[in-house]
Amino acid sequence: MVWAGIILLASGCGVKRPAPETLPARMHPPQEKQERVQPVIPRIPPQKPVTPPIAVQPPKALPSQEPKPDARMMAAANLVEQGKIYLDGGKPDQAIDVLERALSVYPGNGKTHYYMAEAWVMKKNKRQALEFNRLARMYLSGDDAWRDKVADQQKRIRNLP
Amino acid sequence: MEKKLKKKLRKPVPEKRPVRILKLVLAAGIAASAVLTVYMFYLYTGIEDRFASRKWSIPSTVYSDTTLLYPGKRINKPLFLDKLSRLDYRIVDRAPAAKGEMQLREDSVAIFLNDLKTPQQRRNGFPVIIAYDNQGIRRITRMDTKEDLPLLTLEPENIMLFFGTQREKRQLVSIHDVPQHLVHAVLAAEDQRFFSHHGVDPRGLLRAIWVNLRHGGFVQGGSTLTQQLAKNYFLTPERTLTRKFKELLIALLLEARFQKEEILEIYLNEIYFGQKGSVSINGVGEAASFYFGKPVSALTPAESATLAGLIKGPNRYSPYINRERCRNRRNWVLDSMYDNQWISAAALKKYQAQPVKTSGYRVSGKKAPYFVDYLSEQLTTLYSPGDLESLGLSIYTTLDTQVEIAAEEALEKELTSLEKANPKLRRNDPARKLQGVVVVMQPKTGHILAMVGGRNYTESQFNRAAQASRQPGSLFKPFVALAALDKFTPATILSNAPRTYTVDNKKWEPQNFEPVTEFSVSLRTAIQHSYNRAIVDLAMRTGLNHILDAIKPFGFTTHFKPYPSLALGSFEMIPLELARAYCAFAADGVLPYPLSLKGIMDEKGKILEQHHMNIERAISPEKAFLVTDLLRSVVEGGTAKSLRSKGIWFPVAGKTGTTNDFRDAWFVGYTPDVLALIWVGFDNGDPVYASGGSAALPIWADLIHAIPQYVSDSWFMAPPGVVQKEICRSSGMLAGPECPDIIKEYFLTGNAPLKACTLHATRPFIEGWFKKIEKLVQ
Repeated sequence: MVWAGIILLASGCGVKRPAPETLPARMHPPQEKQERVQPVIPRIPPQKPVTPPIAVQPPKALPSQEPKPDARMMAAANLVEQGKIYLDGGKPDQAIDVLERALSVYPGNGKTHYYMAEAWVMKKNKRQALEFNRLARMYLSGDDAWRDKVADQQKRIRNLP
Repeated sequence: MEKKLKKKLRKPVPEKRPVRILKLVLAAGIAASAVLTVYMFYLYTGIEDRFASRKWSIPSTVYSDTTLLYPGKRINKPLFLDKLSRLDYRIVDRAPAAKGEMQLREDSVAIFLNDLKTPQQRRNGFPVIIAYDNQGIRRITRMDTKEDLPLLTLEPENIMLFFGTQREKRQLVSIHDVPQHLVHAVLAAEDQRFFSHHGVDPRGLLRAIWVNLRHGGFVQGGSTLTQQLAKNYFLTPERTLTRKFKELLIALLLEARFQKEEILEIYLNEIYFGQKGSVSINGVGEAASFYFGKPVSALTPAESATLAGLIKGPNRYSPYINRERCRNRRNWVLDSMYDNQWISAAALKKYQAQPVKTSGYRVSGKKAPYFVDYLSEQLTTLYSPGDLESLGLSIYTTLDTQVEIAAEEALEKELTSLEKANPKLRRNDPARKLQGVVVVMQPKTGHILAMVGGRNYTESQFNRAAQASRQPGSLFKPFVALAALDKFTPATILSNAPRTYTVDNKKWEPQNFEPVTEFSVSLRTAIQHSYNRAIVDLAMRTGLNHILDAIKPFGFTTHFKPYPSLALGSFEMIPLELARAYCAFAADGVLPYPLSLKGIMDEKGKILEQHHMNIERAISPEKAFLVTDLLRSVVEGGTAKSLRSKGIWFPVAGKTGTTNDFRDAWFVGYTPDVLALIWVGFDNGDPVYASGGSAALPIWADLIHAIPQYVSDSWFMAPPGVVQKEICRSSGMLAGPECPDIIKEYFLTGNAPLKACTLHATRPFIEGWFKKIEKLVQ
């Protein structure tokens, strides 16, 4: 019986501490933040942000969550293709110019960063190549097909003099 | 007798008086000729130095960035059409048939593109239809091949020429492109015997004297075109005999040194045609564009006569000031052309009957003057001013003129509105007026899209964006938060209670902007509402030296010291450096180099300089994301929440800033696509009586509304090292089922909370007692 009583107490009848009788005085007339119910906090004074923090509402469409291709993405993809052509033609400066444009149209494209790294490899600038490879790795981390390519690129860059 | 004769012979025979005078005159003449020869040689070398070098040198031209168009791109239609007009596309009422023509249609614009020539891209012009609706560009179709284009690049815009000490905008024209009727009109108005005299026209001079005597005042000038050129080029405008004499000599030397066509070409490119805002209209090319919206080659004889008539008094005879007076003057020029048999009687009658039609007055100042100043400083490290004026370089920049114009307009509109709302902000002295700064950058690339360093360049050339040092106030708080992320999390509870700190044996107690009752707040709330006390608490717990170490990678030129007030932005900083540093938050922690110069080509098209975006990692992408997320809550419900009521519907990260006594009002806002920093204040530190949220933020909102091409609803992705957890708002620990207020919060993987909330979890408490009892029983 004793055990049953204890179990009963433990499972459903946890007693919370009572709310403090006096809440800190308000300095302003009630506004949005005053309308909120103060939480019952035993050890620290009550606190609340004015509105729910943004984290309650997750970001609308993270690029990593396979966003629907929109006009910007398509334009950026077109520019990346142009950049590739320049790279294939051994023209890294032209490629960088077009890829910069692609980044400004749609900054979240991992492939742009990958090809930017390629262009800097071609220009033998190890530092910039590594920076762009690092960003490509981050943006393409969820893409199985590209992950290995980016890793290979990293090895190539590290081997640069 | 002989003695007497000898004595007489010894005595000098006095010269006859006329001979002596003749000798004196001869000597004086030789001396004067020698002096004159030396003086003329001196003038001639001056002419060689200045006139000849200017004649054959080609000024360098500064261009904006190219404009990329693609189907689906949002556009601000009026600004877009204005852009086409600034690219010198002229409106025609038929399908465009030649380069530079455009036809405005109901839901599209048909353009015959000009050739494109940049360091990276070259293409010939072709006709194209750009169809648009309220959302933006719907389709881009080549008119000749009917092919739909996925991308289209518009040529860069001519911003200015490095032409002499004053940077000017003028369209240089070759004498071969100038229509015959314009030459005749100018000669008829100014110098009918230009091709017959040798720089000075005695007949013309006598005629002018006679006419002026008859009218009892100055009615007609006797200066030839060459004299006018001499005066404009080498001399000051005062009317003295000495200056007139020098003018005559220079005119003679010019005629001896140069061909008539050369003199006429320089004259036509040099002559003053009036004022367009703060920019003077020099040369027939710029005048044809300003008054008639067309190139010189497209002018009609009546329009040529109008322009020629303006030379005598550009402001007096301006069609924008007095159309009737302008018409009378034009008709006088036409009469003169008829008298010289350069037009027929029928043509005279026809042209005189025509009204004076202009393209419409467009006030404009120097384009992006503060940006150009900033650029020029960089250019002068590469080229001497002389080279810039003469080498004919094409200088390509990152400037987006649509953004620049939107920024200038937004700044002026809101500053005027602030002055209207608060009379204390009004100043009669232009040098003491309320000022502002707008810097717009692309965070990823570091391209400076616009830079407005002050309200009015004519009144003040001080570039506050790049040269002013101002206290950033709360704009510095995100850097404190950044440094704190090594130890703390956005959920860490901070003390927002009053507290006194001792600095250099002096007591200092930070105050919140407004009285608050929340004495314990999370780091997120402290940033969201810009609580001073909580941020100072955070700074002290983080360590002031640790903060200084954390901000080193941003490359600020400010000499910070480890004082607690550092956390509240008490050290003066340069707006451009702040904008650049915020770019790192918006660009995965990568600090871009603020780029204004993209490339330089010589006159033959050879690339001399090429500047690419240059990035270096300043902070980790994880921390950049967390700071950005903190700043997003500032806009979602904090000190910048008024952005929502201003129609900013898409996600934005932002931070307001206000310094002591309202001396500075700041706002920085960014998305993945664009970042803009705004500052409002007085140069002398007078108060603006407004916070960053009410003085600077509306400028940001106005600007962003005007540039929909940089607006999207995309947001930053959480990088792999960031996790999102459900936590108890009160304790900042992992949320349990009994926590009354659960929120989601982002953490660095390394310091995410692992323990469940102990504030609301009663079960562990009871279970603990249960175990104790069990032990006792055993």
